[in-house]
Amino acid sequence: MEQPRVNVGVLLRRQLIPVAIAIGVGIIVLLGQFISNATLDDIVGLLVSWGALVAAFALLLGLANLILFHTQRILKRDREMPFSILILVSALVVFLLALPSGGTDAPSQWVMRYIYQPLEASFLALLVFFIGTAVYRALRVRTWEMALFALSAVIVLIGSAPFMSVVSPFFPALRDWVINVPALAGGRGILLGVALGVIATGLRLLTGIDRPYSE
Amino acid sequence: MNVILDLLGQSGISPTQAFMWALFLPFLIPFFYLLYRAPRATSRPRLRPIPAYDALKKLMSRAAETGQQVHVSVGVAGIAGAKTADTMAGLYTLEFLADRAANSDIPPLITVTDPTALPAASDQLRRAYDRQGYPDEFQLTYTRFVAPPVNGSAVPYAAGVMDILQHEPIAANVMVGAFGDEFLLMAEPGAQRQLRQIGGTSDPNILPLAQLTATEPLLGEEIFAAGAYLLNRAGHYTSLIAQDIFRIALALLILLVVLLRTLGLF
Repeated sequence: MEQPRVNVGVLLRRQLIPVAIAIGVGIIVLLGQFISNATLDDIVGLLVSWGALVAAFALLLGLANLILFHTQRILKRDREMPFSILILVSALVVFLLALPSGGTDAPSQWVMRYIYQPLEASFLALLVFFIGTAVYRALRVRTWEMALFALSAVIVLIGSAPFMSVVSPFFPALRDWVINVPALAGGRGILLGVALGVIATGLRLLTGIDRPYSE
Repeated sequence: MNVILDLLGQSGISPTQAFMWALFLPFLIPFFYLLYRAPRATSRPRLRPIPAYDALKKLMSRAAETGQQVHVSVGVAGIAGAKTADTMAGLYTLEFLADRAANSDIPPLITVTDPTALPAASDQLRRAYDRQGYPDEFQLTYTRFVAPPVNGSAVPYAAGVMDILQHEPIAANVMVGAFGDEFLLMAEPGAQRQLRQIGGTSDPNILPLAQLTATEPLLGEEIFAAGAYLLNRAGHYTSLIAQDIFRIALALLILLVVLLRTLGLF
């Protein structure tokens, strides 16, 4: 039976070179974290700055994706077409305003201060109501996890109220116990597991077991 | 002890870095040993059931039945920072969903905010369509770059996702990766629409939000098990077992130190 031909050029371009670069760069940057050496630090600094360049280029890809998606929506005369026009016009205006100075001059700062920041604050204010509705929904789910969850939240809420320390020292003490003993222990346990998960993911990438960057 | 610290200092290793070595090197032993043994293993270890992964396996068929898309977010971090591992967990989940989606007529609706996550997510989808034999079906706009982070805040992205989850025909919402407080902004509209939501993140501060809004939450390290549970890959099983071995060893070490301290011997 005839063996399938291996195209060495394609293999090099799509597999070997990307894997070699990823593993090599990964090991150098990792060693930079573990060993203090001026030359190594310089190399790591250079590689990280190259990474920043690639990330900046990715932003251009993002912008192209945004323009492509919304242009398609406008051309299709989609129901959401007015919003797509608004997004593209806003993006263009902000881009043109920021272009001369890179976003540090007065017009760009004005957009940030008087348009973006109020909008962001308004959205973040929604969190208060969302937490309320989420907790209310949780209380309706009658499971012991949710009961414990709600009980802990109520203890911390009551214990944090300033007047509670005047009424009784019990609730502030209970709140401190909940935060410093079960919550802290649970949090540290989770962080330990997460750290091991991060190490395992990194090792899989460094050893080439996972190759999301090659075919 | 001082002699050891002096020796380490001369070789360019600070005490903090020595501690990092002490934690990192022992992890390599079970990892590489299990990796070496993996090809000879006759069977895969049994994994404890995680409801979120079981639900993910049924998600795309449900989407195909309803004719609605599944929204997938790989988090607000990219692939060039401290939270890369979280984004990778999101990308493994996406890989699984993309393979299923490529076999149906319903592509997933992927949204990203970090520019570096855009090519990674888009490429996962493209490869899935290639693997399943439908390369022409893939479109770049299946992955939407909603908005870049502004001064580190992903609120603009969250606003875009809120709109998608409120107004577009979505069958389910999957959010696995690194998230901040904006997790609640994105997940709550889905919860109010009673969408099936699978949410997971590694940040302990955000986990309560995932617990409150997701129908099937993935808590902490569970997100890093996506490769073993969903993709069934030997390398992921290996790393999962290595993690378990190391975790047990660390727990025993902590117990030993507590015991020695209590007895006044340490």
